[in-house]
Amino acid sequence: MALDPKAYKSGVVVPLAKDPAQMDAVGAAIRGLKSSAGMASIAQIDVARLLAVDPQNPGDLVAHFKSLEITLNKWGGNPPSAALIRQLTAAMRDAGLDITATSFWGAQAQAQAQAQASLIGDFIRGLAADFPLGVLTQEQLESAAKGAGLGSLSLADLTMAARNESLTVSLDFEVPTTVVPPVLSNVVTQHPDFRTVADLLTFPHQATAVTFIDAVALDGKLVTLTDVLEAHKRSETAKDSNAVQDAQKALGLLKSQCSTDAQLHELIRGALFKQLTAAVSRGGTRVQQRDALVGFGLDRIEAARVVTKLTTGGTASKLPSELILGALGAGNLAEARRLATALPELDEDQAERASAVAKISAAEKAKAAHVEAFERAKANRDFRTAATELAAALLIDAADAVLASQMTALPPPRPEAPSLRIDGRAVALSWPPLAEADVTYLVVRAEGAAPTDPGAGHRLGEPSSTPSARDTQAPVGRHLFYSVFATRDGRQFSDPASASVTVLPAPTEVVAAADATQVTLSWQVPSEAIAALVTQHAPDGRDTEFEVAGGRSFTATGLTLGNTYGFSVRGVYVTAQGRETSAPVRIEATPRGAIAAAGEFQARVVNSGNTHILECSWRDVEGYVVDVWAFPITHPPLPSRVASDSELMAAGGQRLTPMPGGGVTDGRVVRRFAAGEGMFAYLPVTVDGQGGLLGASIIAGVAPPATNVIAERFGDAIKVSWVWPEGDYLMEVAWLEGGRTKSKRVTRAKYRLDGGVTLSPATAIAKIEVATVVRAADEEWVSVGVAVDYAAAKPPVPYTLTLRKPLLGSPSARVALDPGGFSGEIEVELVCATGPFMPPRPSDGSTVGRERVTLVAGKTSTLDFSLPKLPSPFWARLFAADGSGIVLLDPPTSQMKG
Amino acid sequence: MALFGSPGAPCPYCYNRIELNKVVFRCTGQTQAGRTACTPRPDAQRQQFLGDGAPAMPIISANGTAVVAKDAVTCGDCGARSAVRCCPHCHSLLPHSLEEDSPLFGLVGVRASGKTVMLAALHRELLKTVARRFNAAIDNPGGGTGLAKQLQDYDTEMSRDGGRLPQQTQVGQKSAPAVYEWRYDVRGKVRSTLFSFYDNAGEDFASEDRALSIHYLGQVSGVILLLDPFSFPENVQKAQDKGVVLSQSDAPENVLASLTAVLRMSHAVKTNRKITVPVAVVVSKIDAFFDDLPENHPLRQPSSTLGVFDEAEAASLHDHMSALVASWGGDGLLRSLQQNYETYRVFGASALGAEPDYRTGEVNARGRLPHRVAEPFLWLLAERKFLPRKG
Repeated sequence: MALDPKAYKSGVVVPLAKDPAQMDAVGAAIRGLKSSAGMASIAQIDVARLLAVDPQNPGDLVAHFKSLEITLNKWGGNPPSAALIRQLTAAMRDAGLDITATSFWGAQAQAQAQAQASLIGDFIRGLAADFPLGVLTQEQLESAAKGAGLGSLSLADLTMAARNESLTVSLDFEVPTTVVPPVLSNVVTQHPDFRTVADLLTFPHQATAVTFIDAVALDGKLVTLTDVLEAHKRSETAKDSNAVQDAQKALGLLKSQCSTDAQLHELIRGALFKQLTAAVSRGGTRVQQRDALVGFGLDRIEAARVVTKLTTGGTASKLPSELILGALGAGNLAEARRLATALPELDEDQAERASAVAKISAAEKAKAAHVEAFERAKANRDFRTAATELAAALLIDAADAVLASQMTALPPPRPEAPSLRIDGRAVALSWPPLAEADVTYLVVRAEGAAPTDPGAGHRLGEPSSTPSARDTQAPVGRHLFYSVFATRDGRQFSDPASASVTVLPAPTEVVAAADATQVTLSWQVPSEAIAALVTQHAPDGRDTEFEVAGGRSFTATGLTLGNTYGFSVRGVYVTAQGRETSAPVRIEATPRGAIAAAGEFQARVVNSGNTHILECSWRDVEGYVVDVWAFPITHPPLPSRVASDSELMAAGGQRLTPMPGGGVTDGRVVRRFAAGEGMFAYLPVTVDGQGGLLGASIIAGVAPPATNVIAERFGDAIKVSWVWPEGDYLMEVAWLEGGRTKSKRVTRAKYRLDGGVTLSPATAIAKIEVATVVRAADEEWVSVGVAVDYAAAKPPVPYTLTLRKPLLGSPSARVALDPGGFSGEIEVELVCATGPFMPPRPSDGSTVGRERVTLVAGKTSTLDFSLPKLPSPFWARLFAADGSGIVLLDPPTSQMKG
Repeated sequence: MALFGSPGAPCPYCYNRIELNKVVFRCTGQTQAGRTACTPRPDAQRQQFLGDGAPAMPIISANGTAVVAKDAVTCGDCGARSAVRCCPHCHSLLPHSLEEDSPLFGLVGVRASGKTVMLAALHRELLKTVARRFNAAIDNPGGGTGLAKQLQDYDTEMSRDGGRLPQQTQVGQKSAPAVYEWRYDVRGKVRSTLFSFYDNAGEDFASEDRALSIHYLGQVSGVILLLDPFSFPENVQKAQDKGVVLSQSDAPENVLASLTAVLRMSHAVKTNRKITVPVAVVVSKIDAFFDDLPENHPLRQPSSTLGVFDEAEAASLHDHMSALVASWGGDGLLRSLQQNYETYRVFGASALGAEPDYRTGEVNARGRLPHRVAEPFLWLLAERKFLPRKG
């Protein structure tokens, strides 16, 4: 390996000379070698590089060092690092290190690696202490490494080591130079609702995880113009306040100033940095400053970067280009140009300075374009565009006092037309606020035409920042024009925004008093009203108008008791347009007599198809509405006579809504309601205001019915049985007997004990029903009965049978029928069967005779039948033909056996 | 049985004959001063006969043998004097009204014929309706225990809303029979009797072999034979439609044949003689056939409420019921009854009155409407002349 002196000088010796920290390290190594520390002394410097030895391929080391020594001697002390290297070589030799042996360089490389690892660890730990925010720039990392003698390490290795120690290595960033409009700054400084401009974008909520250095984002989501539009929309629906109005202005400015997301980001970046700078400038430790920024919603790393940037800078050692850019960023274009002209040029700052000067030129060009556009718009009285252009120019050169004065002198844009509302005698005006800072409004009223300048009418007070006004002195009956002017300085006014209205106050204090047949109205109107127009709305829809000249009252007569009438009252005025009326004021009144409780109240549930209907009736209370309320049966005691709706509801009451229909017959009112399931106490309430007079309550309702009701015939008895409804009820069995209704009540226990309910005599009973009985306190109620499917029993006709078996002749049978109360013709047949078993049906034997007989009530009829010769035992039995209206009762079977 | 002496009385609990002047006594525990009191302990006899393992005061014994006496004895262990008379076999407390002619009634029938349900209904009818009809005091001496307790529990269960029928009685299940004491006035004179019912599992009567093993039929004074109307040939389809479970061995003729064989054997009845033990043949579940009967049919007449037994009505009912059974294809059964029994009567009854859900075993929601349940039993008592008769 031959030494290349030129390359060695430029690659090793000169850089060493420029690196004081490395020079110090080499010096320390020399001192260590001299203090007998041996190889450990040189472990912390890259001695192989310093001595141009390639440990992997050392070559002829003796020749190499001989050549190196000659070269170093030749250079002497220029640069000074050459002398230092020469001293290092001598010290190594003096310390007994065999630098010409290949093995030495192997061992040295190993020792150096170990020492470097230890050094890196110490370095990073120290770095973490120096940067308590956990963030540093690449430049800071490289600079510190160089200072720690680790300048030979790559940035990647250093970054990796820093990350392992939880240090974030970020790029340095340029301080935003965008000029921030006062509207954006003021909204934050004047209203604690907004911590930074970022809170405007999330209105009405606070922004979180805000970043802006590398990308303007909220919660990781890039901010766009859409965010501004949506925030502006939300601010328009928020509860009005100064803060909200200023927020609207600021958001409006962002909308109007930014046409692209990039422009928006630049503006936000500048505003944010300005606001954060103000926060950091309040002092405190860097950690406190970082936490303060996090409290403003800033991302933690972002906050650390800002604090690091703001606290490790300083102007003392700033390069000219930095000073120029600083002035440019501060919106002082003239100062930037002055610095660019005045500051000396430095070699190391050439590129940056050229860039800064180019930026100045671009800014001057843009400013000139905006100023030109401003002049053009101003000439056309397009103040909105003029203001926009002027604001853009000021963004570039905020320090331009001329521009600032022009801005102040520029009239604001014309506001939107005000909306007018008549409020009594007054006129209330309101209009949307302008998105301009420091704008006030002046309202001017005039008659005949809209005021075109502030002096063309009556001023409603002094200019105010409130976008509303109230004219309490508005002339009545005149057509009035109102113009709203915007101004900044009270001298220059915008074009007017106008609207007109005729003040026709409606009547006030409208009161109605009714008796049985008439209603008296009274009201107040301004003295300018020449009359009042009263419209009477009858219940049948017919309207009748009455004009009351000069009066303040009117009596409508001939009204129908109890009907509700509507009345509209309007003031009549004479205006330039002729005769005009105000908006109407409506009131209702019902002619009626003295209030009374609804008497003779009745309530019952009736069946209507498959539904239950509650039918209530009561004695009519003329002129009053009677409501029906339903209460639980166990409701608490009610006030004895008068109660308010709230008292009735507190007692569990519920007002029932009547169904269509019903009416009044002979002084009784009948109303129908949908009946709820269950039993209720129903109460009539004569309505008077928010309550009424209470009548007497009645229990009624729909109790769960008996189901599966069956009536079975057992001889002369009927057994009625059913499935009991759930609940503690009695049941009432009712039936018709001899034209009279009879009933029997039964408890569940009694029903179980007796096995149903037995009724007799079966032939006299009809129309059986089973009803549910509800008992509550001392009241009792019986439900609608469930009808039982029971066919009336046919009349029984017992008969006796006498069998005769004479010794001579044929056997015979005599039948005696006892019709009881039955009269009518029947057909019977006598059936005989041999064997031990009686024939259950006619078909089980042989018919030996068939007869038609007319029965007469109370008279026994006798029939004789001849029998064939039959072996014993045999049976004879009489059967009634189908369709006979009777039931034959067999005699004891002993009579039927032969 | 002694040839010339008293034949003794049947224990109403274990159906063994006992001599009423030779009974055993249960210690009362009322010990003499200075003696150690007897305490309740398991009774092997009660466990064996009645399946009752509950501890009871000991039977007074001497030298390991129970002391037998007529009225009272003194406990050799504790010195207590006891007049608590017990059956020497099953150690059950003997009611004082137990007499030599106290009747024992057997209730037999095939599986699922409704014996337990019928007994529960009869238990209720006896204590309520029958007692009222005859102005009698009818109760369970010694309180409701064993089968009487079970019947009361079944009655309570079936009476509640959604009540269920009792489970099938298990074969070989031991339980103390239900014992009743009936006391009433007859022309100013108190008459009383003690009678006992024993319930058995239906399978015990499904075949002759099993019936032979039934010990108590040898001691009965009357038998109530319960037949399932659905098991008659003409009603099989109806049974299937209603979900009634039947088996081949359930045929009424088979049951009657088994009963006849047991009675002939246990009562030593020669083949050329008829059995003298009265048999009440009860066709149960009759309410299921009401729709097939005309309104005037005697079966649809309610029970009499008069305090006498109406023999004429019962005889007519027997003829009508026989005709009905014959029409169902049961004429063979009727002929068998006629040929083997000196005294028998056919009844129709319903313990529930309203059809249950045969598939789920749930009582009809309309409740229980028992129909003519007590008539067969009253007929048996009337046959013993304990009840007055008319007609």
